[in-house]
Amino acid sequence: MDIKLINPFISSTITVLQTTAQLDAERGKLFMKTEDSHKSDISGVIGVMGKFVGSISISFPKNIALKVVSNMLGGMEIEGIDDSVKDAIGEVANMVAGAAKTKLAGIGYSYTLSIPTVICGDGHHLSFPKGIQSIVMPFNIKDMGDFYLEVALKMLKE
Amino acid sequence: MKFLVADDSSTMRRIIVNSLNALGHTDIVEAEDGAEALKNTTGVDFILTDWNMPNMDGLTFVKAVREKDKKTPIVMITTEAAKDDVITAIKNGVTNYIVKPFTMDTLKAKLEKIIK
Ligand SMILES: [Mg+2]
Repeated sequence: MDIKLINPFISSTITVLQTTAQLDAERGKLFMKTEDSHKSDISGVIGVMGKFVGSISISFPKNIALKVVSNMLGGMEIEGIDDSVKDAIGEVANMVAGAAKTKLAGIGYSYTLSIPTVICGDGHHLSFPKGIQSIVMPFNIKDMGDFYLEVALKMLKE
Repeated sequence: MKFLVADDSSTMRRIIVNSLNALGHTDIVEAEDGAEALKNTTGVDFILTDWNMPNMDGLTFVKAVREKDKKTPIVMITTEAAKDDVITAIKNGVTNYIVKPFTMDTLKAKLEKIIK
């Protein structure tokens, strides 16, 4: 997978969190995903389809997910991962994939987005089909911990 | 003035409804997708719709509305902001475009301007 395909997703993640939840996410170092590379409590996943096929996921630990959703809703108190949190994390994934879409369309990589899927479970790990390498960008939010963006794309033959 | 807000995300609907409320508008119907929105257009003065929704997407919904109604303002509130997408939306009858993500203040300001 061409690394230039990943940058738009990274910058969109930072923009979406900053704009909708007023949280500053600091990017870390890209790594190739392995079976036990990282775990999360809630993930928003968007399928993409164009010159490439695959998915974009954004995975949070519970504390960050709750903070994101609370801030999105103007500081509303949120106690645990309920339907409104699942919905909001799905919409965060949608906005990240959508904002990156605009940037990638500008360099000739148009794609369509699926409806978001949300996966919950303390300490879960996402698995992707064999043959699609997933690249992970960790982000840190000061005093809160890390969350992860996973880009798993495969170019289709022309 | 009566508003119709269509978005599959309940969070996004809440944010849009809160912004409308803050602007003094309380007569609002909500829909989770284009199909539900299409059933709820009667008496609506202003339509706010997402693009990416299950069952019937926003663009299909807009086209269906425009078959009978050329007038009611339709604001597309979406992440889809590639030039071609915006052109497609406007060609099919969308009157204003608001790109996600936004802060609540920006959304309010944009809505206020559009509704005037
Ligand atoms: Mg949507």
